Amino acid sequence: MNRIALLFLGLFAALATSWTGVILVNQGSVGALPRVVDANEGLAFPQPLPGVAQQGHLVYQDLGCVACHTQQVRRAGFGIDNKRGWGERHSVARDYLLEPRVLIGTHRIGPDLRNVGQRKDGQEGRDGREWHYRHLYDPQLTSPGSVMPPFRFLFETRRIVGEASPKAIQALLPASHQPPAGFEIVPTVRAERLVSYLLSLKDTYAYPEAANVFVAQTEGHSGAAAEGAHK
Amino acid sequence: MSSQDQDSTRPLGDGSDASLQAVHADLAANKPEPKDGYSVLPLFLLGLLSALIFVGSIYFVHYRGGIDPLVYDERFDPKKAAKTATVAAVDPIAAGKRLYNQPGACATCHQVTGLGVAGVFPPLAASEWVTGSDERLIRLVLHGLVGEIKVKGNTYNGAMPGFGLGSGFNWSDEKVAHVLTYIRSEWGNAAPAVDVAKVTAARTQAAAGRTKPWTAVELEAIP
Amino acid sequence: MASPSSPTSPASAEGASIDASVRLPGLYFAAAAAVWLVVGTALSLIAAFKLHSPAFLADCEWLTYGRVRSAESALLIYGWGFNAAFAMAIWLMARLAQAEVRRPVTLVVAGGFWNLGVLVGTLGVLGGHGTAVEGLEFPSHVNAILFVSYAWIAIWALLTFRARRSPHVFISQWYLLLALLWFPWVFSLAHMLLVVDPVQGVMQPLVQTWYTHSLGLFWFGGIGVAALYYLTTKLTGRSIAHYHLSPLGFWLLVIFGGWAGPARLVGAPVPAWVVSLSIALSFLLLVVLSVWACNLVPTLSRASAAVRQDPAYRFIGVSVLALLVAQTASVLLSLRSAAELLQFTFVHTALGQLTQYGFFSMAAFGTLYVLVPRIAGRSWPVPGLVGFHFWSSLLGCATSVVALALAGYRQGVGLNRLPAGDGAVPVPVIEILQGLQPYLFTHTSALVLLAAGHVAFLVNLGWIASASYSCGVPVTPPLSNASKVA
Repeated sequence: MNRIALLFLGLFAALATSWTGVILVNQGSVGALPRVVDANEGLAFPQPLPGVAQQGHLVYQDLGCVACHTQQVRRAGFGIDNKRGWGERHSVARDYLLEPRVLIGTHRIGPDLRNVGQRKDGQEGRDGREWHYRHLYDPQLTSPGSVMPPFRFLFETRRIVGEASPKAIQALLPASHQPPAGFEIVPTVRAERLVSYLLSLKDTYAYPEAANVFVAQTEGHSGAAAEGAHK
Repeated sequence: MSSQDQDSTRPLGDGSDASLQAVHADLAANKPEPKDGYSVLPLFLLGLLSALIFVGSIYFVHYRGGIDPLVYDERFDPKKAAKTATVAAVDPIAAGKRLYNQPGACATCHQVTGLGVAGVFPPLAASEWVTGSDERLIRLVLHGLVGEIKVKGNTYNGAMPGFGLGSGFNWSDEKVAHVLTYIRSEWGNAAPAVDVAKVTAARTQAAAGRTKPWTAVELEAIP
Repeated sequence: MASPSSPTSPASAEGASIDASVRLPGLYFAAAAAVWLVVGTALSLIAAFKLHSPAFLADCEWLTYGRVRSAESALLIYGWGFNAAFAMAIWLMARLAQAEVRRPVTLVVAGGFWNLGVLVGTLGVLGGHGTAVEGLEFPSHVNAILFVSYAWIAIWALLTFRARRSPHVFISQWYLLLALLWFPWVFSLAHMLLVVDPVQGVMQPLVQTWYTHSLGLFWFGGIGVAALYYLTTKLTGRSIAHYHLSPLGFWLLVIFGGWAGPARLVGAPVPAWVVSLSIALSFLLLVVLSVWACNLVPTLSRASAAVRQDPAYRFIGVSVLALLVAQTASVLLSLRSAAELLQFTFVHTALGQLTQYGFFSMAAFGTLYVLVPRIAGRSWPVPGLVGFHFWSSLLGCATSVVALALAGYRQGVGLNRLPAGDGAVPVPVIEILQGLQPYLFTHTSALVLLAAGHVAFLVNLGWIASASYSCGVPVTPPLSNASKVA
């Protein structure tokens, strides 16, 4: 019986140790990080999202977007996230401070979305709602060959009663996607919120810890060796 | 087939669970006879364990990133970097401008344009009080002013609150220095910036203990 | 030859009464597991099909890829995995303790609540109420039902252990205790810290990886390895090789295994030291693998030719192989140089498939193919289906893992390396995924094969279970193709 008591004790001690080391220690440090107060701007970062975007975060969560999209930008030199225009800097812990559900993701079947609200280079209207509505309605319209499924259920095709809705998107769609005459395609509230959330995704603030990146010393021949060794 | 096989397995007797337990109890209690005085396998495992502990320790020490919750790059060493770090400087003029324009602060009376209100609040643009002696200006902002004051040929009679530590605004010396630097360089003024150390010196030494606002006469006595 | 597994010896008559006491809960959990397996495989098929044909069933909101992927993952873990694990744990505990399970009906009631929770949870995820936490997808209220049902079942298993007859505690029992005691702690902590009152910021991925790693290594790993040890020795009729070393493996696993979770977070915005410590400690799991290898492999190789034909033996053998390969690969893939290339790719899907399916599911199949005829008192009605199941599972799993691994490698190279040449532009993600289509299609085909095997299993199981009950009192189990164990 003593051996079994020892076994139970050993199991519990091991569980407690791993939990303390992995969770508890971090809860006291990175889990208790405060927001950064910027004296220049007089604001605390990260800034909370507007309410519509927060509701869009819930839509993002319930549709399972995290199954294909990550929301973490890796540092320069570790992969080519920065060269893809997925972010000016790598993500830091404080970027996620105010998120009720952190969805950094584990698969990149689609691009990283951490800074999707910031992407404008050469993509017409990408930073506008129209691009996102077209993309959600049928990804093949904006991204031919994409494996993203169409989210047509986020839109409502309804009869035009009285005036046509200013939010209707059929003007953005090609002839093959037009609704029957007298009908309009309107994004549902969920679609509007989701797009608001996507457009709010931009990590622009330069946290001081974002500068904690190893830079190989370039003076002297030892620098070249160090740079080579650390690649 | 001998029961002490070279591969150290034994038959299970009648194959029941009772004999399974019995055979394994025996195996656990009596380790198999080692050949030539040692058996290879435990030594191999011990060696593997030691090697992996060694490799793991080296790996961790090399890639520990200073065991810092704010380091996300494993190659980064905060101690080495601290030596070469430059503290991100706050831009005094931008900070000062923000302070100047804070609701209830300077712009409320002296206006965003620095022109004040005729007959009520003196201007700051091209004002000799602003571009002149910084010691007077520091004291004026730290503790406030009451009574008559002549600015650019006009007389103003009012009350200006103090902004330094201990006042209602309770601005730090740094903030006072920033806002003074701002007004001395804005609206065409081109006076040198005000140092934080000077503000601190004025508050804690030269004018230590002062709480009540200054008068123009008192300030003019200061070089 | 004097068969050590003769059913008429007194020892096996004793075993028969133990098996009879396990009959009701064992058959219930096995049947539930098989049903969830088939449903889960169907959902996996839908998800896998959508990867290369995204317009498939795209208008059904309940089957959108994100939801169906979360649902199938949760269903296969909590539906198939746990029900199979319960059946295995109860039977193994009863057999090794040589104690009957008392009042087995209560286990069926608890299992009923568990499966109700799984059903509600899966429907919740498909309906959009999932938590979006990988490994804990079910809505919050479901987790409470699961926890209470689990506690009931685990307490019963522990009571059975307490009633054991022999002073010696076989290594399988250690692993069962590890699993039974570890799971409620990690589950309730993860539930509290992620669902009830979520921790702040990047603590969430830390807690989540800690939980999923513990679930895989200690719950499924514990029950699976316990089954492997037991069946290895029983099927071959020989003791475990180098048995005195097995506690070393056990304790190293316990002490160091819980730390290896965050190794999945390489490159993530979590403190670098946590990831480095995790990787460093996961190296030590290689010693545990060595112990398992030197315990199980020599013993399995001592099996006679007749035993090698037994599908249960084959399932166990494949499971051991998959365990060793998967855990070694897991350690190697957590190294930063590998993670840089392969971090968010299908390679991790392949690894998960190899671990969950190749190791645990195969061990579960092997155990169920041995335990069900013992407790049901009949042999498998269609032995051919058993062999078919083995080959379809083996080929399906191997094809799927290889296809996904190759796809993942290609994906990693495309995502993380610039093409050669000056001024090269990164390959667009759409183009990378287009290039993966043949591999993903192969994966879907492999899943079809797996599904066929699972249906064969379900059919066989349903037949044997209903026949067991329709013929009344179970008879002493006769020797047959898949039940050579006393």
